[in-house]
Amino acid sequence: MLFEAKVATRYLVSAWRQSALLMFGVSVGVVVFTFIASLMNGLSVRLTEDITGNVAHVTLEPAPRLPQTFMASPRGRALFAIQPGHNVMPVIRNYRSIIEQAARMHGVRAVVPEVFGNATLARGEQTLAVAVTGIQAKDADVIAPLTRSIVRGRLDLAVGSIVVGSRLAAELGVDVGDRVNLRAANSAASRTRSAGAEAVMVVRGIFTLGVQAIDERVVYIDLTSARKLFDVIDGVSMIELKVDDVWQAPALAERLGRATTLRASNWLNRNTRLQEGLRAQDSTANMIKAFSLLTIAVGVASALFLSVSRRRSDIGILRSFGIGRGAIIRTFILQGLLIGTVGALVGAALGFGFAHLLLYASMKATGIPSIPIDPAQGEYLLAVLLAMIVSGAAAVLPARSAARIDPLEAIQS
Amino acid sequence: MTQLTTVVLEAKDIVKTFGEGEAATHVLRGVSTEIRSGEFVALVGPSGSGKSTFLSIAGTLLTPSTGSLAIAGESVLGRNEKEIAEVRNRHLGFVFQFHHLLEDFTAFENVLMPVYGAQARVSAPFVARARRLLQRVGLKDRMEFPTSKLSGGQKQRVAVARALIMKPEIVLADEPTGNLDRKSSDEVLHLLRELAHDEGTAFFVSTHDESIAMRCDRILTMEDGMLSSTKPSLS
Repeated sequence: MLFEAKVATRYLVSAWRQSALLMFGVSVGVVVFTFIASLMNGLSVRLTEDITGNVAHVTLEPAPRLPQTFMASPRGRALFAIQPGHNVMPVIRNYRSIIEQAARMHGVRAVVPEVFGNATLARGEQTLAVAVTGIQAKDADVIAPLTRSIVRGRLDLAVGSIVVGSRLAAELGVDVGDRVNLRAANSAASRTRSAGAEAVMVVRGIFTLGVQAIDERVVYIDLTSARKLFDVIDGVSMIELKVDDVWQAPALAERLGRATTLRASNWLNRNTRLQEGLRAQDSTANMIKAFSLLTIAVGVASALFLSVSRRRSDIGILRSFGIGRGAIIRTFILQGLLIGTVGALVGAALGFGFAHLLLYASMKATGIPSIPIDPAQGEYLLAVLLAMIVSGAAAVLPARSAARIDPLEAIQS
Repeated sequence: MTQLTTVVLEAKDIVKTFGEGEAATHVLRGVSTEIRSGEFVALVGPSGSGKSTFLSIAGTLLTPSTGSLAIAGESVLGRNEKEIAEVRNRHLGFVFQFHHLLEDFTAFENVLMPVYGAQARVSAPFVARARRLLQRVGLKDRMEFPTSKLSGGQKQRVAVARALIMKPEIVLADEPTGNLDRKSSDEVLHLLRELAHDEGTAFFVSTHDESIAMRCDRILTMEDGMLSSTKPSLS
């Protein structure tokens, strides 16, 4: 390879303006590649974090009750059956052992027991349907960053206190310190008293999580109050989990579902639109990246075809000395690889710098950039490797055409 | 020095036809000759007589339609391309009308180029030989010069040194002085003759220049695709 390296580098150096321009072209392609990767991956991370930051990654709930037949006729007819009402809340009785079991699983960051039920929240003549989440005060920030999201008052989950979403507060016309009436719409005590328990609560805090569905419908109270409100004597209505890798949530949910016989769902089940959006975004990014690589390939190939044409006489004379076709092919592929390597490294460095520049330029006072670019997500190594491979591959055709040059024709022309 | 009696090039009944049927052009019509080591042989003839075609076949750059060719005792025809390239590299040297130097390399690097056909890394004896040859052709002070900075005569001298680097049995020269002025032409020819004598290398020189032909050991005259006469020079 010494000969090939010597000739390839000499050709590149002697036509340094053309080589520099070509390397710059490769660099631009790599900058586009890394910029798109930084931007799209950054956007994907931000969207995912925004969503997964406020919701449980895995939720365990009792399986819905099916109609039960107590006595079946030999002729196939039911004699007695119970059709459960919509307002009967299923309960997880053995929640302590399930929490322990879930907490031991690899990748599970936190496990939160909750009592969740539907209720109405009334103040004066205004009544709104709400979703009540009863949690222990120590778990208040585990699923959603509630403390950070409080816009008025404070996060107080003492008995008799309630924390409500800002949109809900606005619609209901309540503020911190106001009393509200919370009436359960369902209950765990299914057959005797299906609904109707109520409690007077004091609004202690108003939060804005930025998720409309939560801000306009969810209220938080302490677990004990929720149990009392929904007649959950012992147990919880759901267990929510946070995991280390949100993309592992489906697998974890499946394992937990099998291990506990509870119905396990994950955040992706509830965000299919996001999944579709991220997939579409991925496809778009990949397409742009592919085009940038195609540009590199076309640039390298056309420049090397030009070089082969210019070096026709050299190639002819080298072949007349007995330099083989293989050496000629390797010489031109090496040129492609050198152009690709230098161009890609420069491009990766420029792309990294450009992404940082854009990040700082778009940084808002809140510390969150207006452009969701993440320089760490630039896929620089991949870009460099692909650019090198593409440049080398793009050199194959010109290299083969160089090797096909007839020495006699080249010398005579 | 190689024995004078050794046959380094032997062509027998070489026929070369371009095209087929009615469009066929018979350029060589059964050319036979042999050249011995150390000989300085001129190939003369009018344009279109087939000189260049025969020289190209002798240089294994062109395959004859029929006939046989042996270089340094090795039959060439029927061999694959790689083997022919090896024969060219080991036994043949070329000097063309236009020097065909690689402009991006120095004179010294140009002389060493054929070595890469045989070795991945140029060995010390070849480096020493390249220096000796360049000194011998009078370019001791121009070794590291880019060839673009050399005169036409100097470039042709570098081409001569390059043709000899692999110690070939025969150097094929196609109008080697065709692009040079009279003075440079005489210098190059004198050099070729000296080298032929010193290195024991045969030179087969195609030329239009009668004065050059007259200074050769032997003259082969190509006429209408046949070597019609062979006679010793008068010099």
